[in-house]
Amino acid sequence: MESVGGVMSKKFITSGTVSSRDGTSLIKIILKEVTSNKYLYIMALPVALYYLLFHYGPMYGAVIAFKDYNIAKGVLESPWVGFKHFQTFFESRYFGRLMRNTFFISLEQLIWGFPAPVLLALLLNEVRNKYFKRTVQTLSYLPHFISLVVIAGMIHDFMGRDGLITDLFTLLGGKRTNLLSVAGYFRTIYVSTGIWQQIGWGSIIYLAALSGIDSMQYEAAEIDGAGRLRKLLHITIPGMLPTVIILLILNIGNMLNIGFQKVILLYNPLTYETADIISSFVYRTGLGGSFQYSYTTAIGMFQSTLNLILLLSANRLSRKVSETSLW
Amino acid sequence: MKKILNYISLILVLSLLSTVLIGCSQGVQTTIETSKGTEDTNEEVKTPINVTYWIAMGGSSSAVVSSYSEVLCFQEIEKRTNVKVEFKHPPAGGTAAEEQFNLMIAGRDLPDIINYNWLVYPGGPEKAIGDNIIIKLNDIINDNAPAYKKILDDNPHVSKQVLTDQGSLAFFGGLNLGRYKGSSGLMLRKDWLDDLGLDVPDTIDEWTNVLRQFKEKKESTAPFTTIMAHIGNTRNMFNGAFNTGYDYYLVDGQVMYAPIEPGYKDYLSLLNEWYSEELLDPDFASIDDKTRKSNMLNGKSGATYGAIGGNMGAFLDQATTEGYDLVMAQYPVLNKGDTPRFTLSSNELQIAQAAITTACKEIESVARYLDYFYTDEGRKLQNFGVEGVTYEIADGQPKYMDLIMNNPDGLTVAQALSKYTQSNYPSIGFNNEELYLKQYYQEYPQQQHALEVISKYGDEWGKHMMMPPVSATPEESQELAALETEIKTFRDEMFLKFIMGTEPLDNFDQYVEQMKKMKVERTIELKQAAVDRYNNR
Repeated sequence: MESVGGVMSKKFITSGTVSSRDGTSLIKIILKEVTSNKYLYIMALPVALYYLLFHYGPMYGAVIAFKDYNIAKGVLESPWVGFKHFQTFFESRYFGRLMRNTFFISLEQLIWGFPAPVLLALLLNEVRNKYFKRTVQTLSYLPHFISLVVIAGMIHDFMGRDGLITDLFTLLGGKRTNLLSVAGYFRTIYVSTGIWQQIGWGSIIYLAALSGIDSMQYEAAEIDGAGRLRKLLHITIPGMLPTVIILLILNIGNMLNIGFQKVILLYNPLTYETADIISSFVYRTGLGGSFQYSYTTAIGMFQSTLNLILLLSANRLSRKVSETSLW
Repeated sequence: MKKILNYISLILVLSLLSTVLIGCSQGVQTTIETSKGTEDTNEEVKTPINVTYWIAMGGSSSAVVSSYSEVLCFQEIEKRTNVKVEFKHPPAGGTAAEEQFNLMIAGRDLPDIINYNWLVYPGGPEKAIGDNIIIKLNDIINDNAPAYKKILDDNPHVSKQVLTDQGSLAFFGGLNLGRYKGSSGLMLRKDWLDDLGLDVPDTIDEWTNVLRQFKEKKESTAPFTTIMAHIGNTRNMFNGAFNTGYDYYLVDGQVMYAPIEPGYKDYLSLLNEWYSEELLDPDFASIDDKTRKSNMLNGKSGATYGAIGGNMGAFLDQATTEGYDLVMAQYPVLNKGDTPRFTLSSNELQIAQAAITTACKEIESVARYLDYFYTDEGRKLQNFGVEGVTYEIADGQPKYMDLIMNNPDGLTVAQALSKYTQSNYPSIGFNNEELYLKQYYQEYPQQQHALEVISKYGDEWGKHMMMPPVSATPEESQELAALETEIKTFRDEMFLKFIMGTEPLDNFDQYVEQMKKMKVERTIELKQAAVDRYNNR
């Protein structure tokens, strides 16, 4: 969705520059552009509106990060306090731990969670039996549609002292305990259950990319005597690579945005050591009793800034290395 | 393509038709209602006053009604006071109510009445008046709320809780003036105790012995089960035996913070012993409440802390084990014969507090409507419903009829109470009425006994040791909130580490030092300032 907006604005700007060079009135050019592509614009309109209303509109509220926001006084009337809230957060005893946990959970999620749907898509692509393929797809989508609360409940049951997974774990020589109470296991549990839940759904876009590859290429390769592995390496993977890279960049841009829901549903004070992340801390600070809007906004803003930096650097890196980039 | 178009137009036509039809039928209904309405006005002359009322629905209510306007007692009060109320309910669950409340305040989209725990409004009810959200009621109740005024005048300790530090009256507060101010405690399997020939434990040593025997002879793998949300910092359990609370509490008017008190170390070392001996549920830190409940039912555990209604009653209902029985134990002490001091109680002022907002045009009528809950008829209506429908008078006392106790539609007692009355959920007026509680718990004598046991020593705690309903100033509340998140995080982690032995108890002093570095003394100071202001009311 974001890329749609990007493409649009780029097009718009280009036509603008063209117009001034030609000397024709800008408005005329815009009108011509709009009328000639009116269906495209009509289709893009809801998306643009959505972003304006729900993403750009509320942004002015972010100023409360620099204010002592008081619900009765409102955004404009609340007094300015500068970087007070940022300072409080940086000086917090838990700042280091929150950063570390947020970073490591994100990183592990990226390292293990990102390639998983790509692999599944590649595997499914090689399957010849249509019914088998459909069954696997449907079954792997299923967990995506289960509410997170239910998923967390299932994880609690499976990983409890007498849960199924704990049984397996004990069979393999582990000590019988509630797996969710061991700080060292938290990230693994978090990431692996995330893969289980999202692998099928995530693979859809790659399957779409794969179906876009021209079958003539495969035929030509077969005539040249390429085997399955060769075709995979030289046609399938390069064919889906642009999609993979775009999604990777987007994923990196969202890397630190780990939802707090799953963390707060799974963690407890025993696993805070590895599980407490920025957003769960914000949740406890912001909603645990008193609503500290300004402080939590400041933390959220800090996190978004980090995300932006990550996104920009990933994009730049990818442009250098692979020529595929968002803009 | 043409076929598809045909289908689409057919669907469109049908949907148009149906809206027309619905429109017609609604039209017919409205005319009937209006004609009824005119009849009524002819009889009563007075036109009803319309007001809006924002209130979060009780848990058991939302299961049986979609709005309080369907609840019998509210319908009846409307009739009797001639005030027609339109209820606005926030979505149930989580912090939805708080979020909607904040949105309402920020957007200045105020109904006439807001029912909320005004003590948690940043800066307290006084600030809410200063912010021009709600109005000061001191003068208004003189003329328009005689019943509420009389209660406040007759009970100085109640009016102290209700008024702000500056003496403003901000709301009609739900009150608990009865003997019973608590509804949960430590319960054990009575049938196990009887089998083993043991008495209900009083002292810590007796408890240790009982739990040990449960483990050895009853093959209980988690003799005492609990969850972090209970044993963590919200309930007095075994801490009282070591002369310490669980959070902030008062000793001779001085605010104490239990987790840094010397007694707390002894308390932790007991829990540490129990944990290493596997008398305490080894998974208490990570299990949820559902697991705790099933532990109590399936024989894994023989003791827990829980509510008389929601736990004890439910366990007795659901147990399939032959002879399953429960008993409530007194708050434990260290030496036989000591009197438990750290028990359970609540303030007279409850969390339901209805305030009249600055948007209200009909202040006097609204005050009269809210005052009705404090009259004798209102009290009966709120707690028992309508005579002849939900209750009858037996031996001069209201007694619930079958509609409540044996509901023909299969509702549980709690659900039926929520459908017809406001007795089992914090409401303005009178809460936890003795006559309601006794009947609610009448199914099991164990519950009635439990109520007596936990209320026996509630006074000392309730009147002298428990934190009173103080309110912090806006600056105080902001500072407290910032400090408390970190302190609580540290406290919870260390609590578990000490109990599980990953942190030796010898490090308790360092732990206290660290707490002090995190400015725990400042939070005590802030609480003390609020308590001092409260005492000067």
